[in-house]
Amino acid sequence: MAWTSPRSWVAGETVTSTVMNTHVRDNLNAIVSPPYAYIRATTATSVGGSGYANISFNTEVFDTNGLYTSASPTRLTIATAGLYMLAGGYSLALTAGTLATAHFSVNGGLLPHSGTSVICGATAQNAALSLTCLYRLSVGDYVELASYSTRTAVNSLTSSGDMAFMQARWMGP
Amino acid sequence: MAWSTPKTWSNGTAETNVTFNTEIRDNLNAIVSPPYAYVKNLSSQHFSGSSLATYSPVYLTSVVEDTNGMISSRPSGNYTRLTAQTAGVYLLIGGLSIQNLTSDKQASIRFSVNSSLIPHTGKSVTCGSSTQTPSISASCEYQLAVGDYVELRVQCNMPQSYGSTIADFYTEASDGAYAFMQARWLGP
Repeated sequence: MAWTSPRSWVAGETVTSTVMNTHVRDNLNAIVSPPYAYIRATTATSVGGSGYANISFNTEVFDTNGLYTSASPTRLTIATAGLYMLAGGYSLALTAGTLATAHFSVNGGLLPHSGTSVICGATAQNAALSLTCLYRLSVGDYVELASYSTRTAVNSLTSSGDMAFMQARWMGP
Repeated sequence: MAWSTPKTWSNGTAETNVTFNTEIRDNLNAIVSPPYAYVKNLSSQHFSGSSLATYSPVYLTSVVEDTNGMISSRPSGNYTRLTAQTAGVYLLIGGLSIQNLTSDKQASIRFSVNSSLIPHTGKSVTCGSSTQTPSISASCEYQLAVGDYVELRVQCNMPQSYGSTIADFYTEASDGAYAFMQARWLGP
């Protein structure tokens, strides 16, 4: 159920089941079961070389509000306005001295604050990145997991535990 | 509206609109629109003169959102703090980017409360063989009392010159890389 701005009760009002169901039951359900999507990628996205690449996802674990569609596999598109908790991450096989950075972007522009990076030491390693933030989104805004690496054309990893993911959960209006 | 401990309802009590507004309307609003602040810094910050091992507070001068006056009690000219006006458990998120972190040098961020580092792990990044501009972000939950102030702190072991024990580094201030901090009340 969608969130409804809670009613201001007035003196002498007769409380009806309809009002109680909308303003109490449905709002409590909206708090504990809000719009939420969790998507993963079992196929690789090529990252690195020039600018940020958006990770492409192909698996819906949860999607309670129609945020994901396979026609736009890099995106979660907002259907309910509000403040969202965003989480995401991916893994890359980095070579010595190379850097990978993860950011969220909204409507194609990086969120204005910092993301997270990992830098490989002297020995090539598989590196995992994850980040979290809160961000206020409007209906129709789309969120992507933007990924950058100084190692050119390296595929995101897809094995269990390494596969890229993105989550968005409505926290409030 | 502030959260209030929910009433224990009893049989035979004629409830009033005042009670319903406090117990239902205001508490529902308190859950979905709790105290929340989001601040960032649109300028690069230069850190110098600190020990290499010192965590210095990060200036966060630009206010994106502040629903509970968490910036209102910042000392004049000191824009590093978010001060809790409502007691409770808070979700804290913050991050920054370091300009030109040089080979084998490390940068770390931590949250502090009342100028003491929160006693669990922050986040670090260590540069490889070539200079990079990495981003670092961290998150945690922490119980705050009214008046407690939270800061995002950074430590970096880039010295001014070889053998120096004085840190000298800059945060990055480009779109997508601004230093930021968010605090959101999760419950009492």
